[in-house]
Amino acid sequence: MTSRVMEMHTRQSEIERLYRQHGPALLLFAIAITGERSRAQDAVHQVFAKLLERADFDDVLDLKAYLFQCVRNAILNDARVNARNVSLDEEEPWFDVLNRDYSEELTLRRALSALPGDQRQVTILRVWCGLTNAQIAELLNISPNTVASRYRYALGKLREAMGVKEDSCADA
Amino acid sequence: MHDDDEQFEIYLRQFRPREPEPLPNGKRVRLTRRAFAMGACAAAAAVAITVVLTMGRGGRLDRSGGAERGHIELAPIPPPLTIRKANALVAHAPSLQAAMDLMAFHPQSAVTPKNRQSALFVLSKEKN
Repeated sequence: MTSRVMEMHTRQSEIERLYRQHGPALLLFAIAITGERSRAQDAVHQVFAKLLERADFDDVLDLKAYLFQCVRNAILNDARVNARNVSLDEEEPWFDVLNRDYSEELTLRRALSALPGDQRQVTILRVWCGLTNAQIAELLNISPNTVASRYRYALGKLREAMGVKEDSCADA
Repeated sequence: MHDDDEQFEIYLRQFRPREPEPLPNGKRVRLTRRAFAMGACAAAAAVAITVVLTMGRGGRLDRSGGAERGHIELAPIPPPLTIRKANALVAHAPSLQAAMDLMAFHPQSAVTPKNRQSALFVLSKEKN
């Protein structure tokens, strides 16, 4: 029984490490779908709570993609969520604003919110979650070419929305 | 991808996603509680086994001990009549006949149950 308890503690530490490592990206991805930080946070917590209850991912080949898939499923299983209509919560920043002014973060947030849901998800997964086109394609059940085209369109729109800021930050 | 796109990506990545709230303690507690429950079950099982074994052994002791006590209580052995006791009875009895009766019959404190009469009482009544 002692070994079982030790194994459980090891698993718990591993899951907490995963949460620290991927938590911010998972939360941002969840916000991209739900539009609400609180609901997104609930979904991420729900996934990790299930992992803590019965951590069974030894057979998972791509653990990072698996976590994003779990979060997406948790959100889409919630009938209240409509992925195409994300209402922006002005009070809740999506990004840290330590060395930036809040207006810049708000501009980016508005630009992301204005994107169609599928483009927003692809962009966030690519830029802030560090997933490849192949991983995104697998996750969203679309072709890698579709991922690339959505990303290209989204990037253009973001650039347009943040054009003035882009020039000032590109030199940084 | 164009260089402009890469530059724009680098610019976007400067925005860091916010940290999520820490995992609720309930999750940690749930695991700890599970481990604790397993330990508690094991402890309870150990206690139960100990109690059963103790009661079994104690029961055997009680049975033997109870038998000894029952023997003493149910069949009290009257103290033996010694010459000293006989002399004392003769000295204190009102008559020699009374002293002989005391030596022959040990006093009994038997209580007659309700609604019953002793045979000796009935016979004495019939005599009268």
